[in-house]
Amino acid sequence: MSPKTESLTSDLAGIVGEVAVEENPQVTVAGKSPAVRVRPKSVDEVGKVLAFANDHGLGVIPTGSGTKLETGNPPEKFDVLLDLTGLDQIVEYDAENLTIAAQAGVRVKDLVELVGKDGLFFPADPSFPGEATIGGVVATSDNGPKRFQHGNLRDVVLGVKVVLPNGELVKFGGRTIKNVSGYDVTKMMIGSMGILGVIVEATFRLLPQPQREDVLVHAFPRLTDAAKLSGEVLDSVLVPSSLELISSAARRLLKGVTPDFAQGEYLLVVGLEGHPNAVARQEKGLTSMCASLAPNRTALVVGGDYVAEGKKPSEREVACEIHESHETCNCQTVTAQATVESLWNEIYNLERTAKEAGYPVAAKVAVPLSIVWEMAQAAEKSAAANSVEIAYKISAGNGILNLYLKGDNENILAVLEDLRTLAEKREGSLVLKSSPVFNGGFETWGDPQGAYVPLIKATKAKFDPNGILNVGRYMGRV
Amino acid sequence: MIDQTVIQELMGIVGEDNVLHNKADLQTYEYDAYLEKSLPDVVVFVKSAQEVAAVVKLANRQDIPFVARGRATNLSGGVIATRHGIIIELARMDRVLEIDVENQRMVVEPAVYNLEVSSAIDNLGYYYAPDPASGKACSIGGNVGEDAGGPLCFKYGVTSNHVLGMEVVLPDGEITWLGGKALDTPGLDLTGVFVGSEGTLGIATKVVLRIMHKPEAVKTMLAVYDSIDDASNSVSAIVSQKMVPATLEMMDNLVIQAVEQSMAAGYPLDAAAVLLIELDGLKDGMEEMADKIVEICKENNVREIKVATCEAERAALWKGRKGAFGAIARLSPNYMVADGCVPRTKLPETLRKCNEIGDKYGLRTANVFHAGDGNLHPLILFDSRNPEDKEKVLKAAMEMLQVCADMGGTVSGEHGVGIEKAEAMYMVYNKKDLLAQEWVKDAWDPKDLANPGKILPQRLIKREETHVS
Repeated sequence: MSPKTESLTSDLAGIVGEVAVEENPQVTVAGKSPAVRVRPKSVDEVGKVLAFANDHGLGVIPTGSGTKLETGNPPEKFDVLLDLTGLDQIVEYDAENLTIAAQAGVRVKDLVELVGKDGLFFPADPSFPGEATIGGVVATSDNGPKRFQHGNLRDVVLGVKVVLPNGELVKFGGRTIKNVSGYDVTKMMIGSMGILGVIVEATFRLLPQPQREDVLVHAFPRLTDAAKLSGEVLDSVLVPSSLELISSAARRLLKGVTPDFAQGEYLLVVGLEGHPNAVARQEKGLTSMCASLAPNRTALVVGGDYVAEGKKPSEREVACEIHESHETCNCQTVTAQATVESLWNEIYNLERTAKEAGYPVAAKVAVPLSIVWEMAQAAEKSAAANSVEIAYKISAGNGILNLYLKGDNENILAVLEDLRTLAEKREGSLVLKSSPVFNGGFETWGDPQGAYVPLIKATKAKFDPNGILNVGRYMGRV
Repeated sequence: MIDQTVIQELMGIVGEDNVLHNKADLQTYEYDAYLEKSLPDVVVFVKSAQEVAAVVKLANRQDIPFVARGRATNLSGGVIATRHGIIIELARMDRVLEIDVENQRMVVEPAVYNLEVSSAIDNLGYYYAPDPASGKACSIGGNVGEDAGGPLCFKYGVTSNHVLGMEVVLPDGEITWLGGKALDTPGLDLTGVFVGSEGTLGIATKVVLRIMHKPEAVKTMLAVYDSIDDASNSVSAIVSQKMVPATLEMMDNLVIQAVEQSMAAGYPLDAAAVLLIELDGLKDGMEEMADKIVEICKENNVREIKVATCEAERAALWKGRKGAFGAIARLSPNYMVADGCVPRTKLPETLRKCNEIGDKYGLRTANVFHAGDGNLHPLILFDSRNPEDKEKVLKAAMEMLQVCADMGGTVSGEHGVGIEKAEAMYMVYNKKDLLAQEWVKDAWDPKDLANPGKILPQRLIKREETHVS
């Protein structure tokens, strides 16, 4: 142990107590490990730890459960891992007014369960809900398929409290849906990847739980047909909550939910929420639309309330509602072990499942809605040309392609370069989400040249003048 | 006063005919919809981002403050040139540049009227959700500056939820894009911080809007109550029954009287409140939801409830709400619109307190509010010919904002801060919070030339010190 680590440990133990400081923790970010992990138990302690780091010019990386710790360029300095899981309190839950304020370390799953008891619903559906903390979700602006209907984090976070690098606690925003009192710094904090301050608390808007939630799954032999269907749905009065396409390789990673469709086909997963009549009507409409492009491949996963009515999900035959009789169709209902919840959970955890299945690199492409299909085709083509295996999912209503890659580093890099070039040409972007293998060989956020890059640098310089938070990890190596 | 050579240079940029500098001409530009006035030194009419950039570069070189101005419907003094200087008049940048249905986006110039956006895509079956009551008169650039709201915001969010990108001229005259047609542009959400920055961080010259498919069906209801509490309780009960109406608008007795005098919308003159409720979405299940809402209103002692059965009836029910601000002129020569926001369940108590404040100053207060999101607009009636009145109105408005802050709400819901509420910022933020906001302004506009003197209370720090000790 270096003398530096020793004195650091005792200094920090003086602030947060000995048990809350761990020396040489088993954590690495792009090959760098911190001297200590510190786990403060209060906002006040976070302030003191940051003030100490600020005075001593220590490199600090804040984290919750660490599910997205890999996103970013390699840190320039990394002395302290600031573990915020000790901030685990619900600060103010106002069910009547549909708001909840929670500390950064509260897990998404716990928050969802808490508000669910009152028939309310947390309108964000980030990855890894079982582990992810709300602080991490806000700091990384991570959201899932249902943002198509419910909006992104920037649409559901009403305010944040942030400890600045100088140790001061400040608040931005408030707890009302409408709030134009001053600069909307809350928005800038969302997705700021911890470069400006440490988010210690966030207030969210809640919604009443939908009366019913079902998921319609349809298999398409051809991507172009799925694209066509998606375009038709988007330009219709139908209001699905999500419109996801799972590639055939990604489909193999979804365990318990895939109906008995032919291998090699793409799955379109459509979330439907709302009044039971509206959900049923959309199921009917979508099944017909799907069937005209690729017949006999619809399955339905029905929501919990249907089970609560005393019927097993398998008793509900879409076929009978849509077609005159079973004889004219092969529409099937998913087996009982798949529930709406389990299906979504598998999708939320897809990045991890992919990693476990040997796809070490994850990237996210964001482009205008209609372009996302072109990006998927380009990804397939480039992967084939470079001997890279890919699995992916598309959020068609959001124009987002989440891509998982397997192969030689050089080849993966070639695919990523191809796709980034094309995405940028199409007014979009490619961000590397996790890449243990490159160690900075590929800029996480791209290398934009616009006049807004100096603005990001100037903002960072105002908020973090000594350069202690996530240094070097952001766009432009800020 | 600015130098003649600056005026010459401005004429060189935009042409002689597009520069106003005579006092008589300038007087048209010394006010907006707030109560204060301040004369600019010069007004320039610009037609392109390049012209805006050239004017801003000149202002920057000469340290001259500048204010971007659109349709000037601002209620908080946002486009008043408090430190004089240049008004950059954007009214001629009024083109719809692109309608991109496939990507559900539209690109417009800043002076396009709010209502014009929805009109331009109506025949395609699309619309633009943020719907400030002044939609006919206010422009998208101003909506961006103020982060404008409207009745639909309870369900669909405010301007910042629907603006996905912008071309902006920064305070140093550089042109850049923030965000764009795609979501999740890498880097800080500068679009998010620019929206609502009231022209203090630069000037938007192109705006990318999210457009949405029009709902299949709409159901509009008007409920009449003998007490505001019953109306408020109905709103809470509707939400707790898992329904999210697109609109929940309320008006109190004084507004009802004004509306009836002005346009006979059919509101009973002795009602304490009317509540306008609108559901939108698929037609399936909508009748059932409407029935449920009628039931809820009855349980909460509604006196009478009308359900529109056709578009004409719907328009009739909306007529009173759309014309409410205008109708107030029947009651009083002048009024000031206050704008605060509280958690929804605090509305009845907040209203009572606001009325008490009005009574204290001998001023009548009418109320129009967005009941779903807790955004209230006390309209304080006065007569500007009586100089004492104006002072009393300003005091009363401030006290009402304090009530909103005390209730856990905020001091501006959708009308901005401008010069009106800069000092009220202390009601919801402490000095440290505001210093961090000032860092934002400093990062974008170190010379403090873009619409100076707005939003933040008097500058907290000297220019050379940038951090709290």
